[in-house]
Amino acid sequence: MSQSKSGSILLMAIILAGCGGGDSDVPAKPKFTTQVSFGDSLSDVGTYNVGFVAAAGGGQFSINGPNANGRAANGNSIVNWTEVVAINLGLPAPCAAVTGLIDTAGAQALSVPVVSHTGCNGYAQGGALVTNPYGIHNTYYGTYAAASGLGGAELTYPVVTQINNYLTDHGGSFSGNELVSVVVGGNEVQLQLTLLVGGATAAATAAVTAAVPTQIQADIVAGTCVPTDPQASNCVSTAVAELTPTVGAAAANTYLSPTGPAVIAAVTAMATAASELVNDVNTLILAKGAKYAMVANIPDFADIPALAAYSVAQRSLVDFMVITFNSTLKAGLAALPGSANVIYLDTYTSIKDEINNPAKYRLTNTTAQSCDPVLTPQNRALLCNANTLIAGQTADTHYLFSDDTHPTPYGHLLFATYVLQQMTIKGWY
Amino acid sequence: MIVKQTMVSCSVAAGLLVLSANAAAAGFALIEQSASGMGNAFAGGAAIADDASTVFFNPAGMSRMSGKQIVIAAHAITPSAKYTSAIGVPSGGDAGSTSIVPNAYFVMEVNPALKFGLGVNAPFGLQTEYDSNWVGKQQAIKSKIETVNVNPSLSYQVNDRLSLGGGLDYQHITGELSQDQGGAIGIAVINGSDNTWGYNLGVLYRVDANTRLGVAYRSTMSYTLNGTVTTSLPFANGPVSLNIKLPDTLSISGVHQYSDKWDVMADVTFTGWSSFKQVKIVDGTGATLSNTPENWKDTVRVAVGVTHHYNPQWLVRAGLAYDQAPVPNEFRTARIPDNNRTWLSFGGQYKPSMTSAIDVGYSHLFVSDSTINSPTPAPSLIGTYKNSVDILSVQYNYSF
Repeated sequence: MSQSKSGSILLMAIILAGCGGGDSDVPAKPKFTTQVSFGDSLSDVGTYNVGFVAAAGGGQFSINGPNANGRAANGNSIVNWTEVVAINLGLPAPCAAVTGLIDTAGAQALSVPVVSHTGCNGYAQGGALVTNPYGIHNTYYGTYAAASGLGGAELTYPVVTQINNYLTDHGGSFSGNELVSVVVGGNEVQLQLTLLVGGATAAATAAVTAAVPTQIQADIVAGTCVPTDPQASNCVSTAVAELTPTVGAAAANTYLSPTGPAVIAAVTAMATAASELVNDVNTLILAKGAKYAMVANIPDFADIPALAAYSVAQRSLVDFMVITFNSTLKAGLAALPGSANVIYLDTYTSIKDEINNPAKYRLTNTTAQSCDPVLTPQNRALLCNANTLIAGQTADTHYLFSDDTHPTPYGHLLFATYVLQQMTIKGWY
Repeated sequence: MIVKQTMVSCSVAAGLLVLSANAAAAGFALIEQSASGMGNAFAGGAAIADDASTVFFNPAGMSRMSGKQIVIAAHAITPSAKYTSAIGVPSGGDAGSTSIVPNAYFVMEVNPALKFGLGVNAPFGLQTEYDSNWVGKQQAIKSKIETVNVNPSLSYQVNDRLSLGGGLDYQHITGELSQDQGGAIGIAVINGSDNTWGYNLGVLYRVDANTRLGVAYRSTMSYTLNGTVTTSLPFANGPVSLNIKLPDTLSISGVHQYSDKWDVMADVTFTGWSSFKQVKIVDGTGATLSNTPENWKDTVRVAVGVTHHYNPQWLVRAGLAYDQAPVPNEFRTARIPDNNRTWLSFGGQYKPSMTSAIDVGYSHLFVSDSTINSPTPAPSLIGTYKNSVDILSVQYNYSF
């Protein structure tokens, strides 16, 4: 009897010890109050949707206007990935914090007054760089390379300025309930490519120019050119034509050598831009109270349609620049004291997989642009809409690209899907 | 060979049992394991041991059986869960619907002190399904969990007061979760299944000629459900897995024969729902596809009941229970909008012969209104659920 009692007590003890218990609670998902976006055209929700851009039916860097992504509560068509994320988080549709155009050329015909919009937290601006204020299509952009001819009217506030403007507009800090995104870097590649192309062109021109007198003499001796004046000026064009693919190309190739100073400078500039971005994220976002920050790397830039004509070697160089930026960014973010509050969006891998495996994403074309280069003003997504597409395509197209650089609304939807997936992994969604 | 036979048994059981019920015990536990117990709101479950359903409630109770007995029971469970937003707009329809949960038990005497029993039942189950276009479609459309439990057991009568019992539980689980992922993905349907082993133990102690105490424990059941996710976007499709640990339970029961006509009984059951922290679904690479914090809490269910023996052929039962919900208000989801419930139960038994009996039980569960505050995935679910459950059970017992 006493054994039975002991057995019963022991059994009870085992049972009570085993019943219930468990690990600590899983954190609740955050309840975001606002979405704040910094960066470039990939997150721009309408900074330039004024003046001639609005008149052309443009405004965002995709296919503008209604599409299958639907409409936000305010009636706006959902084009950009930030708009998709906002609607999935139940947040108001993002709107541009600043609108306007600044044109310093000639009669300044493209200018539209710059206006700040209280309550709008879409600070990203097409063309923006990390720190440099003269981004792609800024009115002063052409300063960087005479050959670019890319000067425009776009504000291109760099990310550092965008963040500082946010802080100025919001009392100097984040509340900690914002979903903050930073998507920038593609224009850094574009800038460095512009500089490299300009430098290579200049090097080729200099080499050809230096070789022209000798080439003219050789042409006269060979009889391929008969001078008509003492300066043999009629032989210059022939000499240049002969020298450009040889001496000129050699000089350009030397300039673009992966081990040459110009390329090293370009790659270094990419790393510098990434380091500056890490510093901005650290000091201006995390240190100012943000608890939920997403920072994207540069997409698979070497495979965009804009670079389709580049040689394999040139695309490899672009890829190396992108990877340099991305690896610097990733390592820098991981080392931050607030890294637990950051999601590193691997846009590079995500887009590369879409390009290489289109069927998995129901993409029908990942190499060509859907905006018709002839019908679309300047062949730019900013000015592309359903009326300027190539034959047979609509705003609901499952092409990945709108113009030769930017995604279609469906491409944005896929990127938003990727972002929400990363937020899920992080426990934010 | 034993494993193979068990697998066959499980397959047969799965074929017989259509388990799709909104859980009628808190969380997604199913306490509906007998119609005889239903009439008393399952008060005294681990101590009554009046029929072969004691295989589930307390295997030590088999010591009170003689000869052989088969029990077959079926339970029609009709839950109701209706969502209304904070501004008074209903959506989704009634997420509950009537489901049939059967179970069966067999007990036989090996020798006067040793009894063998076998139970086939469903200790856990859940189904909620909303209109596919309801406001919360991105949080849940369909949630379905089915279990089949095969439970061979033994009891041993130590002396005229004390009996011990134990059993093995081979359990199969299937789950289906669906929601509208929105955007490019569309509706995602996740299916998975797994099998696992558990055990249960029991003690029955006869205090005196009129009073018995019982203690029963059922172990946790740890699963890794493997299956697939299917969407309209191929890249999102593929293998998935989900780890889930179903809780252990401890029941302490007493029954007292107050007179020739009246029995009273009581019961307290602890359920370790704190093992249920999250629903985290990962893909074939280990990446998280979906992660919903649950953070359930351990619960206590208390029940009291009374049985009136009208004559040797007829008896009537009544019971009252209070069943805590494991779901914290801040973590309530559309998949299981559970809340505390109060059971009011009635039932009876008719014995058409010395070897057979028919039991009927009915319970209405008054479930407190549940608040939900789940903003994502948007559109948000911020509002109230009105819940209730009705259960009608019938059971046939045959001794031979």
